[in-house]
Amino acid sequence: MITAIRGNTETAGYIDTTTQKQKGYFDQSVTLGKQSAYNELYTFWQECKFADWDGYNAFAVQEKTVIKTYWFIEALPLGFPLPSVGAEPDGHLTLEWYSSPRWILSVSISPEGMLYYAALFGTRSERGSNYFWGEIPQHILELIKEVKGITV
Amino acid sequence: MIDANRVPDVSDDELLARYVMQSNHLRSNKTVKADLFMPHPYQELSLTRYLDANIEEVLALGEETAKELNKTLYGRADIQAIKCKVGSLQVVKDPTPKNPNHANIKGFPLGKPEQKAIALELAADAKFYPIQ
Repeated sequence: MITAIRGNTETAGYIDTTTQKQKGYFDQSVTLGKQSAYNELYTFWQECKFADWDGYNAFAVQEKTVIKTYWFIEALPLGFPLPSVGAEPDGHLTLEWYSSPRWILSVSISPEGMLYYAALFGTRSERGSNYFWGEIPQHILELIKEVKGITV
Repeated sequence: MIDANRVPDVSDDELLARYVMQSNHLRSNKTVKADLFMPHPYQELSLTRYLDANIEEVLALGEETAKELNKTLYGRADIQAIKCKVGSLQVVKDPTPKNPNHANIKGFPLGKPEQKAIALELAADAKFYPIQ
C-alpha cells in the first residue's frame, strides 16, 4: 500500500497510520467507499485486456495500467466524487468526471503512470500532463471540484 | 450509397456516423464518451457519410463491420462535418471497396492532451442513436 507520510517524525507516522485505518473503514461503507470504482475498473479491464478490444485496432490495456489507475482512485481524497472508468485505443485507462457534455474532465493514465488530462467548461478548455507519484496533482483535484461544483 | 466512381468531397453540412462497438464508450444517459473519438493508433478517425444513403444502409455497414471484427454494434454517434473541423482537423473522403461512403477525420495533433481536448469537443457535439 502506498502511504503518504508528510514528515519524518513519529507523530507524522502515527497520523498517517490512523488516517489509513479510518480510510479503510470508509472504503468498506457502501455510500462513502471506493469499492464500486474498483469493481468497475476490474470489470472493465476484462473487456479491454486484449488488443483490438474496440474494433479499431486498439492496444491492450496492461495490468500495470490497471494498478496505476487503482492507486489514482485510492489517492482521491475522502468526499471526492468517483469517476467512471474507460479506455483509449492507445491502451491508456481513462477516468471521467462528468456533469454535462460540455462540463467534463477526462484523465488518461498510461502504463508508466503519466497523467494526461483535458477538461471542458463551456467554451473554455484546459489540458495538460503530470506524472503520478502517488498523490493526485492539486490542479487535477481543482478541475474535479470545478466539474462537480464543489466549492470547498 | 454514393456512386463509387464519383465520390464528392465532404461538405460542411453533411452528417457523419461513427460506429459504437464498445459499451463503455457510452454513459448511462446515452451520451458518448470522448474515448470514442481518440485517434490512436492512427492519426485519423473512421466515419461513414450519410450522403446518398439512408439510415438502414449506414447501419448495415456498421453491422457488417462489427460482424467482421466479431464485435457488437451498439449504435452510432452522428456528428455534422463542420463540427469535426476543430483546430487542425479536416474531414476527407476515403472510399473503400465495401464502403464508398467512408471518410476520415485527419490532422489530429500529436500531443495526447491536445487530442483529448479535441475528442471532448467531438463527443460533446455527437448524438448517439442506439440500435433499435
